[in-house]
Amino acid sequence: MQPRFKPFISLLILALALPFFLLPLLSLVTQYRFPQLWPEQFTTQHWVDLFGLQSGLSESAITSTILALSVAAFVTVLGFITSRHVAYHPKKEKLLLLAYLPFILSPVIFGAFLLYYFIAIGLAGKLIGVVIAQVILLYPFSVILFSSFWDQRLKSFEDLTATLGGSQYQTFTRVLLPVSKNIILLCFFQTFLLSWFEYGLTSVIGIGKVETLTMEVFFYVGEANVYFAALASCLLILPPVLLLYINKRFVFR
Amino acid sequence: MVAVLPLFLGLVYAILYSFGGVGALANGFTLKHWTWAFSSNEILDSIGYSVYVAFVAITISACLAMLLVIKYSARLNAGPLSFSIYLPLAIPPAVAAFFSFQLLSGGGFLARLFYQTGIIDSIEAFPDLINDAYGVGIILTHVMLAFPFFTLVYLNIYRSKKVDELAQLAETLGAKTQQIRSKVIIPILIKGGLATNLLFFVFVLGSYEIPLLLGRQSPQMMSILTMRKLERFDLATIPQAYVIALIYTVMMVSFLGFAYKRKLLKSYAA
Repeated sequence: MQPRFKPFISLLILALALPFFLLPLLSLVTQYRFPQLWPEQFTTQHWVDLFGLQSGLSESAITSTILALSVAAFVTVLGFITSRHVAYHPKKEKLLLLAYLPFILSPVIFGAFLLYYFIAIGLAGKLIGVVIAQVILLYPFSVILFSSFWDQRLKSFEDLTATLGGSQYQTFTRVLLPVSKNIILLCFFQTFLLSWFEYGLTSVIGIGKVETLTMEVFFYVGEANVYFAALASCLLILPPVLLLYINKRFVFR
Repeated sequence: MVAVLPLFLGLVYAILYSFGGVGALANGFTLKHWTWAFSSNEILDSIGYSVYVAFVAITISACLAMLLVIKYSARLNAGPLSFSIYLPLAIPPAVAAFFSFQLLSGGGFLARLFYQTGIIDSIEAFPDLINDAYGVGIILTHVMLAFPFFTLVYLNIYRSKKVDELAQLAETLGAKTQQIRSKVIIPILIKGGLATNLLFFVFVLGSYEIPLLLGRQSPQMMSILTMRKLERFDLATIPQAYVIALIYTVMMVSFLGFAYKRKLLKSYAA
């Protein structure tokens, strides 16, 4: 029966992989007029400019990397610590319900609510302001993610270590951290990606002054510069693809 | 408190702004912005349009994912499809919107392909899939992002609930293939994936990047309408923006309360 379905599966695989073919192709093109299916002229100049640090894109790539790494690090640490308290709290369900609140709102509308305060304290239009805004947005996500991790088995580990004379610090570094390595990595990767993908909140709190790669995509689309928009898109999908590969190959086999 | 306090403060400011309590043009308490909201078709159209886009996108994604898991679960466990299905998870919504624009627009890749193969004879003959009245481009882009994720969720449920064994048991008891699918497999997948579906529905409802690039001026999705009113040079529309944002927030909080009461989000947290 299986071979009968092959065309559908092949078509599906082709469709799933198409963005990873079309976007790099567009980033290497200088002219692509309708109705040509295959572009006339190719160039590597856009990529050369990028690596030569001559374009704004390389700066945006650095800004995006700093932003996503800082947010992921903060949110993972904060979420790990907070979620433990939430998980063993008698009102766990209600606290988790509160954590869902910022999580279910549209980031751009969340940004609209926060904007006044960020302007008032001078954080609007600054990278640190966007970092703080994204931490506020993604922190509940990490708490929700970690909350299912803390269970009775882990509590028993902690109690056992205490009974055997281990200090709180030892319990944390020698028991909890090694056991939670996978979920910490998962949270870091996921919050890194959420921050890396983020556009709405960044555009509102950054008021156009914090130029991340997602902002560049819209900037170049607005300028009708398809080739640079494609280049920015390639830079945006590169780290997630790498993380997916690492995830599949090494971490969560 | 770190998570909820900023939101609470933002809500207070938005409420005050919407009632004329603060803001550049504030002249004291007024209900006119709220009266406008309930008498204007713009907001109702926007709510209807957002719900329509989210509902259609999630329904198509869930059906496709279910079909794939039921018919091709073996191919999803090994081979090229098992890797390819992860690929769209690496695409940010901003890039997905740009890709759809390049694929589905009048001068896009599909139109070129159709022209070269003789399916259409001019650029005008290609249907409007971008900036169209029915949000086809927006829906397709959301499907492209949600369907692989749903497939992985359903596949996980399929494995963890040992659906294959249950199906075999049903067959042994005399159930036909159609009955096994409709009475055993599909109910298990729907129940297990409900929380994910609901949360994705909420995300699509509040999506911004995709309708920003692929949507049209009217009707607009709620987040787009809010930002259009907020970022205009006309200061008089800012209170209206906060009114729309508050209506959207009330909708989301009501949804969360409903989901909590019915314990619909439990499977997501787990």
